[in-house]
Amino acid sequence: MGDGAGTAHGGGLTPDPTPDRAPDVASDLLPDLTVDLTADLTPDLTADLTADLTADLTADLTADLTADLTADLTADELAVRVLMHRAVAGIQPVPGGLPRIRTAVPRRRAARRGALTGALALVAAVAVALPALHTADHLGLSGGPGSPHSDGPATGVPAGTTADGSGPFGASPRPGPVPGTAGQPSGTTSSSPSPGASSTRADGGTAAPAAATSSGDGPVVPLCTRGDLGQGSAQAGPADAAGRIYGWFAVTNVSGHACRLGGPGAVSVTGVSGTDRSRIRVTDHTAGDPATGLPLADTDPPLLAPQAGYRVPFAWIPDPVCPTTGQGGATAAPTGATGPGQVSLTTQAPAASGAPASGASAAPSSNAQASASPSTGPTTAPTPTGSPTPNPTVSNPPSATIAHTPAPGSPSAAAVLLPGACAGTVYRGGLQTVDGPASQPSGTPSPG
Amino acid sequence: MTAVAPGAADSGAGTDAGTSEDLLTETYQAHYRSLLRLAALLLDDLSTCEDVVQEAFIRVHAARRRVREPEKTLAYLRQTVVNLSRSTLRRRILGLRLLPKPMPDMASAEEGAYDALERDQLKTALRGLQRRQREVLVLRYFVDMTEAQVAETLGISLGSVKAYGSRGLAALRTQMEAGHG
Repeated sequence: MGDGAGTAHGGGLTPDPTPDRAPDVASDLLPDLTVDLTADLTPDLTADLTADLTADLTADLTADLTADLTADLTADELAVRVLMHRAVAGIQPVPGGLPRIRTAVPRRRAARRGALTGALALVAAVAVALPALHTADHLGLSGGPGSPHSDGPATGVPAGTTADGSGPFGASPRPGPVPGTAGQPSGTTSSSPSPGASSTRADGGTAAPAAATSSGDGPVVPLCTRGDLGQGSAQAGPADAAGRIYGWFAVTNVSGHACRLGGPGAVSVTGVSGTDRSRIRVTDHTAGDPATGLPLADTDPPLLAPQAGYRVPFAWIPDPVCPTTGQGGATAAPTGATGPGQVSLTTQAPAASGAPASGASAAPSSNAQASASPSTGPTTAPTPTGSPTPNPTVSNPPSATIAHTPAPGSPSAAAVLLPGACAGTVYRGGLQTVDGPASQPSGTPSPG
Repeated sequence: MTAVAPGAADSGAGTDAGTSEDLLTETYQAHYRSLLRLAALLLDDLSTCEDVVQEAFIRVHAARRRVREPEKTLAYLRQTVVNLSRSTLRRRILGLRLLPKPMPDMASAEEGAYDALERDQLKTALRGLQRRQREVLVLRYFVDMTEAQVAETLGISLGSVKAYGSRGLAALRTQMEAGHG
């Protein structure tokens, strides 16, 4: 069928590669292909195609393609093939392609690595965050309904620091719950997270307000919420000759379950009369300060059984002189002046008390027993609120009202009036458990 | 014009790629032009073709594993070009234009009017085909793949390749006739 092939490729489209195959090509497709190619393409193309395609393509095609590739192609397939190559033959790459790829490949590799790293980081973050969230949720729920302290940075957040609770994390507040120790909420409180407190505790073994971690591996006891604590009361004794007033705040676990107090709570000045508020300082009792009658600061926040309570003893030590004209209750006693270091500590207790101001669920009725109700303290002489102190006072005696806010936060549980308080320092002593089978009595060594 | 022949590109890839330390340059010189022309048959915008082929190079070379198999590099490149062309046609945007690029000089001076006419005819006809038909025809006749290779590249069965090929040829002929008449 040499003539058939001749007509099929009459334009010289593929003159060389197809002589062997021409018979079947012609038998299959040539009737219309011949018409197509010859009629349509030949007039236009063959001149050019013959000219340069034959020169270029057929050299290569004949060399390595004819044998295997084009041997199976029909004539119109070959024509399409040629047309395709022809159609794009003029396309040349733009010059900048290789440098662009060269710069983009490392970036793409970095992006792939970055994506991989990001995915790994995400996995790690999720792996850490899920137990953490679980822990936080668990503690918040077990702490009681509402658990307003769950966000409080200063009070009540159980920083599960050490697994056994034996580590001396005196005053290092951990910022959040550490995953993995959910079962042992060793109540490291950050109620007074002062680094200086730990140092003083190291010195004198006293007065670290920030409690150490629990030493027991006991059962998991939830932290006291503010709603668990009630029946706040306060008692202030009469001023002695030096104007010192000793007293205490008392708070009871009114819930039906035992709870662990998250911290000693705070004592703060809530109001003054006849004096300047800045003259009333509040600090924690440390060894060597004038408030020698106070128990030393607690080492461990107590565990409160139902109906058990705790007391926060305090002492009012007036300054030797009242800076203003209004005379203080007792100006004579030249007791030891409060050092400036203690003054700096005073700022911390109010800061701790004010932390979780968001809705605590406690009944505010505990504030009702605010001012020095003399009903509870049989040992001390009643000091009515408005009445003058045993010291003779002027018609407008200065006074200050201090209040105790339990560890979970506001509202304050009790407040007491300090009559005759002009300028001085309120010292907060260590917590003392009362009235109940507190399983964790606060180790309060006798004041030395 | 010798680079038009894909056989030359194939042979160059098979012998050299992977042994040189600058693999990228080598594969670029060996395959870029033919891949660009392959993309030009699948797409119509030459600037997009450059984007597609460059993206294929970037992808294949960013994955070192692929380049370590030099005998498969060209196959990966082709497959990526086909897939990118397809998705580009679908979306009409590539979104990875790295730099503004000049248009390639597609019409050289000595090209005659017949060439341009024929080329446009073919491209118009190709554009009128179904996408699968066009891909099969281009891979089969421009890249000179066997039907099995086309099937592997496109991820379709051999029978589909045959069907797309035959129908594509018929449709192409129809289109060419219509375009010419």
